[in-house]
Amino acid sequence: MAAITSSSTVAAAPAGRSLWADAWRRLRRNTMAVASAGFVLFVVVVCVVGPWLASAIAGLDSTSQDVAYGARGPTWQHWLGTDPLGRDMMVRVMLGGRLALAVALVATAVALVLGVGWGAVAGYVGGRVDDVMMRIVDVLYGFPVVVFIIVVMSVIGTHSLVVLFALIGAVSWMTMARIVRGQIMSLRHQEFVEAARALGAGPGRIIVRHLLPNSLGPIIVYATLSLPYVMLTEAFLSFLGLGVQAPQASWGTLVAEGAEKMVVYPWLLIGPGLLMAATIFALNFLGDGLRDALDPQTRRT
Amino acid sequence: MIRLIVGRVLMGVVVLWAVATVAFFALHAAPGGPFDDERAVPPEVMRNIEERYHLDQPIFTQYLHYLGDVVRLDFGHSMKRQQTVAEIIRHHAPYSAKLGLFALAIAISLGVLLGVLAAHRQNRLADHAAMTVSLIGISVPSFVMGPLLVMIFALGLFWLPPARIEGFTSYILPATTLGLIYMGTIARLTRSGMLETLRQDYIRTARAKGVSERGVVWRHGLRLGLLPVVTYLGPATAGLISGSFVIEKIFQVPGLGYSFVASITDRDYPVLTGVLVFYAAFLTALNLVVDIVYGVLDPRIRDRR
Amino acid sequence: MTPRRAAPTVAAAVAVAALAAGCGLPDGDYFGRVPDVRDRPRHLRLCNSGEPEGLDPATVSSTTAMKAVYELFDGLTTYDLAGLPEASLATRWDTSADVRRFTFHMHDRGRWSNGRPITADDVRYQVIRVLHPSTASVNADGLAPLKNAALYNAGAARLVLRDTGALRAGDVVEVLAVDGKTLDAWHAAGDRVPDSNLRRGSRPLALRDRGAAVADAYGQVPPGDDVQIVELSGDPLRPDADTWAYVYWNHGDGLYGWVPLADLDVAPFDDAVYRVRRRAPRDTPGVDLSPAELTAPDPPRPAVEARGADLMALPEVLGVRVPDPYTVVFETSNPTPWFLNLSDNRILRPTPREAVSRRPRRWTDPDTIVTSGPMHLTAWYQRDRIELTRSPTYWDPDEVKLDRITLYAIDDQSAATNFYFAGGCDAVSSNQVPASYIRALEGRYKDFSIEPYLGIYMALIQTEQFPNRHLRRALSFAVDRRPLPTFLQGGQVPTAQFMPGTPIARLSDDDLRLCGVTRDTPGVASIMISGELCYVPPPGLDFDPERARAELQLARDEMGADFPTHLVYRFNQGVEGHKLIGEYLQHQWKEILGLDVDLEVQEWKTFLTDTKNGNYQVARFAWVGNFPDAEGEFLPMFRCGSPNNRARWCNPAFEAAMDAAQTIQDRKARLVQVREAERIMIEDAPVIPLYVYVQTNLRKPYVRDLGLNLIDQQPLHRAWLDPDWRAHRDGAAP
Repeated sequence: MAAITSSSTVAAAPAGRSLWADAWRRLRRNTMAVASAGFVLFVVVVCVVGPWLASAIAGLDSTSQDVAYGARGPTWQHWLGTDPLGRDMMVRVMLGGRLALAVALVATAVALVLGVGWGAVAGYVGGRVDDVMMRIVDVLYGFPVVVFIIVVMSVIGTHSLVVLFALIGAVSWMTMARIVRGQIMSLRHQEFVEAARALGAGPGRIIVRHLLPNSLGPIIVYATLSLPYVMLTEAFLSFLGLGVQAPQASWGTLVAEGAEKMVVYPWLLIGPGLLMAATIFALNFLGDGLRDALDPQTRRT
Repeated sequence: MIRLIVGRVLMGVVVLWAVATVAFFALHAAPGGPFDDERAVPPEVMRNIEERYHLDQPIFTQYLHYLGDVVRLDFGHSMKRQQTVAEIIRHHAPYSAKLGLFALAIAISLGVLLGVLAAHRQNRLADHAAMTVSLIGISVPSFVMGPLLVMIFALGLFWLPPARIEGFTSYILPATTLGLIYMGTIARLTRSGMLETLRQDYIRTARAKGVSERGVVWRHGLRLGLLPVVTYLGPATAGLISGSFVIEKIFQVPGLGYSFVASITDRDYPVLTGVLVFYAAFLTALNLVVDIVYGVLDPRIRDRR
Repeated sequence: MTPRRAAPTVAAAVAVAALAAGCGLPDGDYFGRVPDVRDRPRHLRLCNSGEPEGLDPATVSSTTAMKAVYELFDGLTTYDLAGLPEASLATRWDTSADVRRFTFHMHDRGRWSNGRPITADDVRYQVIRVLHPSTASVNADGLAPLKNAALYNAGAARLVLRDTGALRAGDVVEVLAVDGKTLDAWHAAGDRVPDSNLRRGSRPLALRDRGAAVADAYGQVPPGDDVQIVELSGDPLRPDADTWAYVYWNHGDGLYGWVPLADLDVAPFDDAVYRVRRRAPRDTPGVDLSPAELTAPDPPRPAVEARGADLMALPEVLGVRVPDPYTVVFETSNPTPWFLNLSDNRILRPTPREAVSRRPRRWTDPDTIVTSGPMHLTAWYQRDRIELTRSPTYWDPDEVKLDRITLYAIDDQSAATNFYFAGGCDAVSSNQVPASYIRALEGRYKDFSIEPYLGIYMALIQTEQFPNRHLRRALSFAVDRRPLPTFLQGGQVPTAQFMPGTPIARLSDDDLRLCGVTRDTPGVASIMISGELCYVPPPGLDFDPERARAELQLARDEMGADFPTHLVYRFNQGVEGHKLIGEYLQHQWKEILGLDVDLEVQEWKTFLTDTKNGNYQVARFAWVGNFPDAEGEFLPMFRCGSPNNRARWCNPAFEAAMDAAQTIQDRKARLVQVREAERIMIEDAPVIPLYVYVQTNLRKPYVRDLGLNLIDQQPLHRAWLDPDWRAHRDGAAP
């Protein structure tokens, strides 16, 4: 971290205050972002702890069925109603949240590593290497996600969660690569880079120390955009029946099922739908706040 | 510039070959064939069918045949429908294109407007309102947004048809549903791009020179501020025009995307590979255009080329 | 979020929630808008269930295509409002005493849309097309009961054209090997078996209508190109100078056409040595045999050799004959009491040779199609709609109540229902209502109805993986079927019986008498011939936790260490009901039997491949019949060699019972035997029947005479729209 801080070259940072402390201060001032962070944290805690509490206090769990009590609206016993097999929706929504958040985090991490690495190299080296690397990205773009996932799932035979993590990550890094590449391309001839080069810095050092930190804004913006995007991808796969499989359910599966039934049983959509939408909202606001706080260039204004 | 284009076209051919090859082998690797159904066909009957469609030949022979046909721009015959693949593309692609372009128009006009507004009034109410609106687009999945819009405007108010394409009005709901997804992203990218641009030196110079605030924002700022948007427009347009099949399904638009997905589940090999090559060609062309536009918009890049 | 800033978010969320909650279903007698049809009283708009894969009766198989195909093409018989066969091109038919010969007498008023009379030869041509290998029709199996049909389709049954050695002209032979190599060896090597039908010409061959001038040819085959002889004119056993050959040229889309036999001068496989076996007389067409001869065991027949020049796979080997232009005779290998049920099926609906010959794959395009039914095809917009208009040449115009039918291709259930709601179509194809709507629609709107459907939903057990019958029986006993309709919400009929039908409680008094049951008998029954024949399937292994546990204990004792610790239930993705049933079974088997069940979902084609290859333990499956006959449509899937035997269940007692049934000519006695076979099967539990399918229907109140029946086949053209339906609403329809 310190290395990155000292590398924010041209900007004349006020002495003694690191970029990150600075960012933290600015973030704290952004009430919206802080509230969003709080909300996300709240959702995480509820999803992780909630099912245990529900089971301990109200004796609710996600698997016990009571068909006679199926598809009922919200009651004091079942706050978010029950699904057609009579399972408590709230517990299912909380468990679904665990899965949805896990998918979002892991897949985004995969995409981040792949995309930033790929884009940075392509953008910095440029020329033929850039062409080849970007053409590979094009090929992957041209190869639709669905085919890829159907084929892989068919060949592997099982729909395990790990496969789902890897697949979603593997299909969502390309945009990140393009954005990083574009950013690096526009930065690599700026004075501070030329200066570093003149001072004898190698390409790896230039990328890691100078270009990436200055591209952090877009990377963070895109990574935050990526979290909801991945959540939506998972939902979309669930809509196609390729996502998380029964008896597990993620927000995606619940929302996809709820959307089918919203005319008749709206609570099946409202519970998971609102929570998912609100989480995506909050993640986005948080991302915005982070961006405003972290972008090294912001400090000039 | 011409060298760039020629190089790109050659590269594009390689890309097309790669896409065609991967698609061909990937789909053939997936279990099942186009003629498997709940009622199984006796092996003798299946033998005739496979002979008829050359599915009895070794996979590599099939591949070479296929490649030969593709070189002659013959994508072959659908195995599940009577049309040739070329006919299927010709018939269905315009629907997807129209839907995509309407959606793109909605996404860009609303997205840029919201983004600029938000950047201009950073951290004020207008900013948050604009971002909230744009976020609705991103955070509600299209398979929820579509039925919701249908419920309100088609089934509740009877203003617009709930499904099928018949005339311009029937494009409104699907194009809005599709456009909202991209509008949110465009608004956000515009906002961040604009924020960055408005801090650049040349903007300060422009301000100092007495250019009006409106001029600064719309003429000077927008040009560079839209760079991330332009980068995004490539995949966005591709997604809008090719990947809209959920919306095509919900609204029963006879577009190419849905035919394409059906060809995967049907194992309709010629249609799948043909449409995929078509998409890849389209994307390659689109990326070329994006790169050229990028160069034109950003003098820093243009001058170094 | 601070309150002020959060306001828009919260407002939006509340709005969405309010809309979602508030936009429930509207009040009123009918679901959605009822448009005024005064300006189009003879135009029916149907939301069909998707895009048909084609319109050629020989090759299409989906119910989606049938909606159009049965309007475009007439048959010997056609579906009446109850879905049973009714005279159409044939005025009457006779069945021989041995139930192997079916003679249809046609009238001469049938016309193709180009004006040509429809004759028995057109029917025969359709049989040839469906079975000919180059057509590669998925429907070929449907004609399997016909003599030699399967062998002809496989290219094995041939006709000897000349007396050769031990064979007489006219003998039917089965090819065993060619040039010393068996057929399987040829196929294994990836080679096509040398086809003695292949011919070449030294001059260009002009493919044309018989007798037409060479200049009118619609295809010129260059010299040296192979064509395949499909049939010969006149007496094929004695070809002469006037004989023409109907040949297939496999070029591009393929092309058929007549060519004088004399023009064909080279047979590439003239000299190939075919090792053949004479077929038993009961497979020889055109010969009447006594029942004794028919049931006599095959005498051993030594294989002999013949030259390719002497053999040809002409359709004369098939059990279809045309003694005169308006009579067609079908012969089956075994007694086939349900043959009449095939006569209205697409497989036997004649197709026009003149159109098919020119463009074998594309003749059903609107500009080239030739039709025979009450409607003609005027436009086909891919994946959008099909427009049919009244055919001016249909022989029975009084029966056609409509001038125009529009079939919208809507394959999404919600979209179809919404489109209907908004008044876009007058009726929706059955089962296009999303499951979640059903509970809200049933009993609330008068234009919605639920009817039984000839299909069974089941869990199949891979019996090679679960050879212990007690374990299988335990699984069946442990499932309480009664809650299924509660959570599936579609009005399904829970059942433990295999053969589907109408719930006995809903039968009329007459039908109860016919079936010989009382109203309080549990289960279903199916009426096979109105007022004549009823089938009551044997009871299944319905929910009984005590017996389930007892059977499980037996299984545990017998299997010892092999007793499975857990089992895997597999289903295909895309339908929520499959998942709910999976979760329910998982719960039931755990609760009652203490078995751990894993659920596995698969993409459809993968699922089909895996279940076909026996690569599963327990899997969801369904079977829908074309006509209500257990022996003809349902039980064959459990016969040892059946390609549909996904349970891999092969039981000698069942085989013997089915074989015994085949020899019984009296239909009632035969049904008793069939019932015994089904009992043997269900007691051994290769299958756990769960529910009888239902069909859900939405029809606007002004739609009249659109049949509702067990197999969901309606003569659409007999429907009509009543513009003054409101006035007639309370009284009987005029």
